[in-house]
Amino acid sequence: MGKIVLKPTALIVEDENITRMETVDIFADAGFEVIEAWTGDMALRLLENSPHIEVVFTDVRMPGRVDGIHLAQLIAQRWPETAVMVCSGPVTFRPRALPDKARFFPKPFSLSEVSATARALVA
Amino acid sequence: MNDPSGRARKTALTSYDILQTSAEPGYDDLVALATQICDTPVGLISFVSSDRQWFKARIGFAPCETPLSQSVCAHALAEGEILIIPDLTLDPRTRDNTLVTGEPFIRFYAGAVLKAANGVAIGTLCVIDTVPRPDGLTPQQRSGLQALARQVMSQLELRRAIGERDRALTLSDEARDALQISEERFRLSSRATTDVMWDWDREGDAFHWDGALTRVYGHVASIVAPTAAWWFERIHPEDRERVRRRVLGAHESGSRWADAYRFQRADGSYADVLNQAFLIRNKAGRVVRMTGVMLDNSARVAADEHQTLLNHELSHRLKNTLAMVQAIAAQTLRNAASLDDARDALLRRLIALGKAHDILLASNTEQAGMEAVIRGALALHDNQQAGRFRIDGPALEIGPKAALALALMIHELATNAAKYGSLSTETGHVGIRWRIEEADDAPQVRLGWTEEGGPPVTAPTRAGFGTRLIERGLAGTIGGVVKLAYHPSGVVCDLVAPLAGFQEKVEILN
Repeated sequence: MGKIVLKPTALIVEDENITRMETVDIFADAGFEVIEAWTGDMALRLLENSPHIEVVFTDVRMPGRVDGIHLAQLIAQRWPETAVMVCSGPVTFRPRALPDKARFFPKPFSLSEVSATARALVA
Repeated sequence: MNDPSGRARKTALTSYDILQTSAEPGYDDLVALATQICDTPVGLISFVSSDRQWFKARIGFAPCETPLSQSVCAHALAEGEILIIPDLTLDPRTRDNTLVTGEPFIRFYAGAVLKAANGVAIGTLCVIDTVPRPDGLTPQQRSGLQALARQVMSQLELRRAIGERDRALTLSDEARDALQISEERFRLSSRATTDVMWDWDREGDAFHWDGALTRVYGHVASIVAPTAAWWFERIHPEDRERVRRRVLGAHESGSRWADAYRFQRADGSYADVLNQAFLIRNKAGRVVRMTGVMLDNSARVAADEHQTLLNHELSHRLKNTLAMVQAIAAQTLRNAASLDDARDALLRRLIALGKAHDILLASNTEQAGMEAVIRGALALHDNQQAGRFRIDGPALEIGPKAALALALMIHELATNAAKYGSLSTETGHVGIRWRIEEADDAPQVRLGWTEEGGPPVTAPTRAGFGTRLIERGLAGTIGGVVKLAYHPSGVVCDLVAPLAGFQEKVEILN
């Protein structure tokens, strides 16, 4: 009997285009179906309209009303099953502001570490 | 003495009649306060004459004068406001000074310049340590030392005014005029600073502020109650109890009090102030008077905060730029046929990015001219033939994100053209033209890249990173649409994007 393997879905949220392009490729190489957003508001719309997103990888500082920290908090409340990975330059927020389960990566981040963490989160 | 500044200094020093006078508690107290604020074993009030420096007050230093060859203060006079030397053994002006190379082996020096009312530098209030201090003074210590230096000058002015008054009282009407002039001079010299002097007679709770209170903080004399309670009510509620406790603590023992707190201006806003005072006790040891100076430190505090924000912003942008370079490197390697190809492609991409950064940094507005960005990106591909690039469009300032993405897009188009398209022949050329169009809701920019005169082109079989940068780099950044067409006559690339996207600025310090 054949087995249907569904790829897990990752949402990449990053306003810088080339950085997002590369992050999308990292997740695609790690075996994810990837969708992308360049603002927190756009990410929220995608979360509301997609049946299931396993992992969200988000930058912190982005244009629009919802920054990465706020997005991580909203996801923890509304989509507790979804894993959150947050990356940023200098840590500009109180560590308490991040939900407990969220993983933090300082920029520039290690490609292999991001990839391994993403895979482990959906294993 | 041949130098004019030396002559002016001699005249000023003579007018204050201070050299070789005996020690006075007022000056000793100021030096003590300076060493306390700066936490140093040595403090001096030094006047620099033609061949020697002479100390009016000194703590932790035995000689009452030294030859000029041993004077660090003489260097401070040339400095303007303040001279801080973290390690005297490292500074070419002081490393051979015998006070540095021999006893007492001084290492750290900070001196605030004493300036006469006419601006002539006559000496310093300085503090000295026997160990180096790589970080120098904190902003509070620095402004405290400078405030005390102004107090030294106030003492000198007062001393001169009193001397002139005493002479005037015993002499003629003519001299009485001189008294008026000297009092006027004292009044003017105290008006030139943002320091407010105050005096609190504790016995009768009479609190006197000088006129600077109105000038600096806006409180007009008619509404100022002459009591300590009025002062305490102007202190920020969060600071008030602490200030009160420390004042009472100073009353228990000690001869000085200093504190930093927020002081309310007449308009309700708060200034960051540094307040320092001497306590005067009666024979029984009870404090009968406090006399002090309150200086407005707001500008310094605001500048420090702004500097911190700017450093943070810079660090954030650097990290973002590194992330972008990391992505470019990773993408280049991912798509490269060989390591040599990758190295070459990566270097050229970084050069294009670097040129766009240069153009952005050259203006202080974080904007760049569209044409300058395009020319910067094409510089690597120019064979110096007239008409190689036909660039035409209205002057247009674009934002930093658009500038970087545009530079990379143009660079990739030119790279492809040099390999396969019109720039691969000597006579081929490219037209790069843009215009602003009125669309339904908002103006948009139409940018065209048109290759002519090259060999026939065909679409590549696979889309590499370069093609992705062309099709999505700029368009993805500013919300536009790109059409890349491989006509047999040459590549044509059209971009349409909202003008607002092109001109979007990065929010700073949000």
